[in-house]
Amino acid sequence: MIKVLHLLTGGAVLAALAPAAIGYAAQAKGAGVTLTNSVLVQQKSAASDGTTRVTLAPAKRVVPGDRVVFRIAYKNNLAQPVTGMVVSNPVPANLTYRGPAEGSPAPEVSTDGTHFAPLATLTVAGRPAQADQVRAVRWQVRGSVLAGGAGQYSYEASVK
Amino acid sequence: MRNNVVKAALLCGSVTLAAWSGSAHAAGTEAGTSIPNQASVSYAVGGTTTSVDSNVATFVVDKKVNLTVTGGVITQTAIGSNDQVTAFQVTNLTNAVQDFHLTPDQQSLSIPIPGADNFDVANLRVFVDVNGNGTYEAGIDTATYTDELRPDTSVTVFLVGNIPNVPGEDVAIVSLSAQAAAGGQANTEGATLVATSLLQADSPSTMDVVFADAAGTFDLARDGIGRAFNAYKIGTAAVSMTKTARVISDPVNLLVNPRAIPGAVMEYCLTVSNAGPGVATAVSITDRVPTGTTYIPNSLSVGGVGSGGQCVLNGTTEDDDTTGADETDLYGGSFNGTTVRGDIPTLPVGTSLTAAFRVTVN
Repeated sequence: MIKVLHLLTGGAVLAALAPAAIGYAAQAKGAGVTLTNSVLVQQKSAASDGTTRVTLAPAKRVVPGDRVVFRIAYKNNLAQPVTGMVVSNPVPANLTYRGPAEGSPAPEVSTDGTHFAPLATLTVAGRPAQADQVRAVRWQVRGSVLAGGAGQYSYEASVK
Repeated sequence: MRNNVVKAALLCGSVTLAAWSGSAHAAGTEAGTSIPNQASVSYAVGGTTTSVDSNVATFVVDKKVNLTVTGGVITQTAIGSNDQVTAFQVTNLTNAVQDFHLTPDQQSLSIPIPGADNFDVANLRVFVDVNGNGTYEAGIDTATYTDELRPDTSVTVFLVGNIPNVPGEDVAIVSLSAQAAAGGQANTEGATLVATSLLQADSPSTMDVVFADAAGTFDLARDGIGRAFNAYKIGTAAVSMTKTARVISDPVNLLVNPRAIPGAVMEYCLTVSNAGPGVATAVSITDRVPTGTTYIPNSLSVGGVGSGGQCVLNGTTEDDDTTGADETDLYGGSFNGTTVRGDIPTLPVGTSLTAAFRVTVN
């Protein structure tokens, strides 16, 4: 007899972004695939070779007009590989999407929460979509993520 | 008045962003607003699809203090006048409601256009235009600090002073400085705002205070203070007078080449001219009727136009008393038995007007 466990997803508000199907896998806390979200700010410092080094530090003293970076890191703690991984994030209210952070691939974006595409190909009411119309971002991981595999995506947003 | 930032419906990190207009208010997101963000990941393993949420990453929007004070107004005034008003605008660009301390100052510097400051206004006071009508009203505009000024909102502030009676001085430069103070309690002047020390460790859940105001004349950047300058300018007018006389008629020659013999009618023409730079007001011309002549009653006319010193086109006819409609039909005039008087209310810059009266030679 196979015991069927129904997994409830948290954050019902975000359900529109995630596929609707609910799976069988029972996940213990800390096992399975974990996702860690942090909000950071860029700090520029002069490196010894004359170039400017950009480091990320936890966000503090954030005022309107400042830029923050959201870094979303995933890790596969399962014993087997996973496929078709999609990392999604709605752009919070009071923030304007500005683009991928340095070193991160560009996400697909959405202006309506359901249809995702690269920003350059999106249109809103017949006109090219602007960055401030982006309401959600997502990254599709190509292929599979091996057991123990990890990665991260980051994007910049400015405070309105 | 622009609207305050609406915060209530927008705190959850959902996709329902329709309520946020996205318009670029200078002040921005209200200080103290908490912005949470939660991501999610979906994947397939063993043929089944699962979704997992991240933690909620949160930060609090800090208070960004910014303001502008705008002046640059030249107020025309006159010596010896009291309660002369000059106006400034104070604009709150902070992302929160603030009070502002207001301080008026005399300045002894030189600004292009008004020129160099050479006198001080007496009894300089500051009042807020509480009913926002742009006019200083002594009984209504009594507040001396700006109370609960909303983001992206301006208020008019008046400086009121008395002009001393010292001829020869013409420019007084005054300044208004406004300093950000705590808002939150109506009708109470809040404490001066202090920027959160950089040495204090930041917590993502507390709201810090950051000063972001720009520098100006006698105004440092990032100190929560803005300053602007206005000028009081005393307008002067250089008025001069000339007098001519001509014979109109005599009993012998009548109107043909008349001579100034007993019985002749003579006309005196007084011309006043204003060389500026200011408009002359309440100009009064007086002249004693010369001995040996008798004033012809009701022969006075004021406000006419002359040429070469002679009165050519008459102004308004004046009777000899100081009452009646003739006193206010543009110009006034009278004769008190010995002295003729003409009254011109306003003499613009670069103009000349005449007063003429006739006498008979005794």
